[in-house]
Amino acid sequence: MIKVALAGQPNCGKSTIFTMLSGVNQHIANYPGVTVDKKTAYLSHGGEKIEVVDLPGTYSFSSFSLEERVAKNYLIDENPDVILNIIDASNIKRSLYLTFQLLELGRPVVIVLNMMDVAKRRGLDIDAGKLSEMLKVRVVEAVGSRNIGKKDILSSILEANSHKATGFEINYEELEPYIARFTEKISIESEIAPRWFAIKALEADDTVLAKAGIPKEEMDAQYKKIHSEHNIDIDSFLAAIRYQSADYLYHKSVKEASEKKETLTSKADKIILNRWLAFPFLAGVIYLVYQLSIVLGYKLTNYTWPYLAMVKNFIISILPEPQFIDVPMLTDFGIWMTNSALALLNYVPIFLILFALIAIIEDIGYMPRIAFILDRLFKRFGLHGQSTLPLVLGGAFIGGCAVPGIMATKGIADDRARLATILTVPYMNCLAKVPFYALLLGAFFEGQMTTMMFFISTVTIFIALSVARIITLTFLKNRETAPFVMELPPYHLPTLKGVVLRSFQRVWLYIKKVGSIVLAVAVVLFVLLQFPGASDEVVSEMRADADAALVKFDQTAKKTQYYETLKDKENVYKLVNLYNSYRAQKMIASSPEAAEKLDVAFREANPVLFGFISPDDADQKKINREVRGLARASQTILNKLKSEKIETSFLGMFGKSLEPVTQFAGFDWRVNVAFLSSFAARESAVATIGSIYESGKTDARAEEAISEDGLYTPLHAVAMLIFMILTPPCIATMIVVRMQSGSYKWMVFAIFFPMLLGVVMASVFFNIGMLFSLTGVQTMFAFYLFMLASAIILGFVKGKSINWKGGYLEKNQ
Amino acid sequence: MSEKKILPLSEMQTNQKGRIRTYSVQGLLKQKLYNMGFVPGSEILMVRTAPLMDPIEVMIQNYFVTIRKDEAKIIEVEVI
Repeated sequence: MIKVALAGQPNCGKSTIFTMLSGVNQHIANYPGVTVDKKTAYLSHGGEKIEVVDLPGTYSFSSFSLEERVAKNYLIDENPDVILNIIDASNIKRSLYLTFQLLELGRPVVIVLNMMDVAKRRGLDIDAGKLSEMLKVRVVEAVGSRNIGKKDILSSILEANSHKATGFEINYEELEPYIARFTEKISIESEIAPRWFAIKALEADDTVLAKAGIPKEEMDAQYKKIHSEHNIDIDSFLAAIRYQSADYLYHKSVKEASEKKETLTSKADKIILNRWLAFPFLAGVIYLVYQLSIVLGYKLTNYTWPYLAMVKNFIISILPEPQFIDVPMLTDFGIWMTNSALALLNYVPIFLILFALIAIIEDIGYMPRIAFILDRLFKRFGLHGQSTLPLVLGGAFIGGCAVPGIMATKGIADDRARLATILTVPYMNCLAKVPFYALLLGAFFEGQMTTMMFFISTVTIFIALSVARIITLTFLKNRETAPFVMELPPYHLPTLKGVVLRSFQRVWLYIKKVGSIVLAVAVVLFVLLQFPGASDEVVSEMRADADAALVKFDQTAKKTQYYETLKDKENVYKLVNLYNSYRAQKMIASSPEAAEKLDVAFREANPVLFGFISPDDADQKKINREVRGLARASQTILNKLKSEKIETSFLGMFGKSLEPVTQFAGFDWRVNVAFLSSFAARESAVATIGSIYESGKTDARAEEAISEDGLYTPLHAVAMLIFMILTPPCIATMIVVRMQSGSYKWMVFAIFFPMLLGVVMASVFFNIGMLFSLTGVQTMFAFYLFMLASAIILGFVKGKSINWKGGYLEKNQ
Repeated sequence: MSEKKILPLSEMQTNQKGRIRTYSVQGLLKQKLYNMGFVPGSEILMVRTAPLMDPIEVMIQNYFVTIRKDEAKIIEVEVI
């Protein structure tokens, strides 16, 4: 097997080349110990098996960022057989800076000139042969986005693998004697050229110094010596020579068209980054994303819901049937798990659209431009222009997921801003919160849904900014910060394949999370809600009610010609179940024809009993009326029993014990139970509320059940909304916070700080609403204004700024 | 010929061209700036200032890069 490492600078189109080589057959994992994605693909060419590993995009192999360290360690430890270096053909000069360092590794290298079409359009005439001759490696031309060059790349890999690397060297002039000395001195067991280690040692690279066993002090002394003897600053000198060499190679192998045309990117940026147009344009993009993903996506769920309901009906049909009010535990459990799973799957259309749109924005190259436009704003709050992507993924446009959001913070080089971003992303509206909002809005604010949704989706950014400023001024005050220097890449059209693939990969990641954690939690919750169960007293009371209802039915049935059939209790139970099941399926029947088909199917399966559901003669009609009454009665009894059960359950007890505190926010034990379960996974809040309110009608959505219930006012709903907006992250997010922040301390902080904030805010605004008899919408607006004011005021609080010139104790001071 | 005009990168005017002079920088910023092509002797073009007046966008080594004024002010440029 040939091990190929795919290396290149950010924005060189590395992922399109990787996708071109691998197709959909990609394996995504993490590099050991860190959360940098490691994509691997296995393919074969000319009878050889090839393993391709996609390294993170890096400008260099310094230790500036996590990505650079990960890429460097992989190359040192894994000894790839061939390094495939992707170069943006329209940006050769800067790309060569990395190429030189790859060539110095002394492993076989194949260079891929990607985006040849863009280079041609820019009037660049690239002589690949000349480049290949000067660098002494194979150079392949390709257009990853259009699948051009795959074969050439693969055969070049095979050729490169069967030849020895051809030792390309840059002459580092005055430093050469020192490089030679270190080349002798360092002995590291590796396939990598000793010269590379020597150069890295001179750069005082931590990883290499550690491997070579050279103490840092020795290097510092060396650094000073070179500085005083040759007046050379090693870093500056190496960089200058690399860029000079790149410039030389560029002019030897590339002819620029005599008159330089203005690139499309430059033209576009004149509008997109224009002082006056940048904000309207950004607002337009955000609005479009919101409309397409959330609004349109939500409408789509109306079309997909019936299919999920069908699945649910099917699952219920294979579970043991209830015997009037005696529902088998297995059936309860099955319905519970199905509800938990479906509540989430219902939102998959929104996910697909959202992730696709984000992938498109990423691919086009707009993300760093958002950072460019907004950095000054974020900087005021101790964040970074690069915080934009994590916050957007976390749900800046309402509906994201904190998990990918927090994972995306790894690109932020500024440690303080990174940690602040990790801790604020959970305040954004994660998609799992959306069903909860939708549920409450649907139940209490049907007419004002748009207004409320606007408040909810925009207030989060003020909260996030306020929290970021507060924690960067306090807990994170002394964290290290880093420079803001970012490429604004040329615009590229995204490829359909790339976008669809990424969208599905992300959705799949989410579903996997649902499959494991949320369902596991659902099991635990089921147990906590089910036991110890309702008291015997209540149960016997309910049984008496049930018996009374059955006796009443029996008396009516006696007077009809069908008593023979209905004498048997079993048949009565069956009839009630049949009636419920028929109603459920009739609800989701899409057309009159489908409804008719349903009738036929039911009649065929149960020729006798169905007569009472779709009655013809007078006796059947009489019984039909009774059946409906019986179904209603059983439902009422079951609901009573269920809420009795939840109230006396372990979780109910815990929820009740919290009432003394949460009463100030208007939360009763039921709401507490819902929130408690939401800490496990936010999705569970809806599932729990849905289940608490589950009216047994298998087709009814929880919105209807809650608003019909009449226990809460819109003000209660606003208090719940405020708490939910601020509520702590779900288990999965907590785990990711722990991973990315590297400490349990921050994880605990990430749990309790929002919880405290949530209870306080919900209580304050619930009481303000009560005091001034505000409507729900008015209270929400008050909360909104408060958060807006707090963000504005905090934005004017000056933080500690770094003086770059004198801020660091350095190796060469 | 007029006198050589030297100013910090952060104070360049839009569309002004310059050449980076030797400048003193330490730590992470040094690594980052060199990696991104801000090496002495390179030509640099001021492209635009962000709508909120910070950061700035410059063209260097034939590509576009954005840098905060705080960081740009330590880079000395000779206007050409």
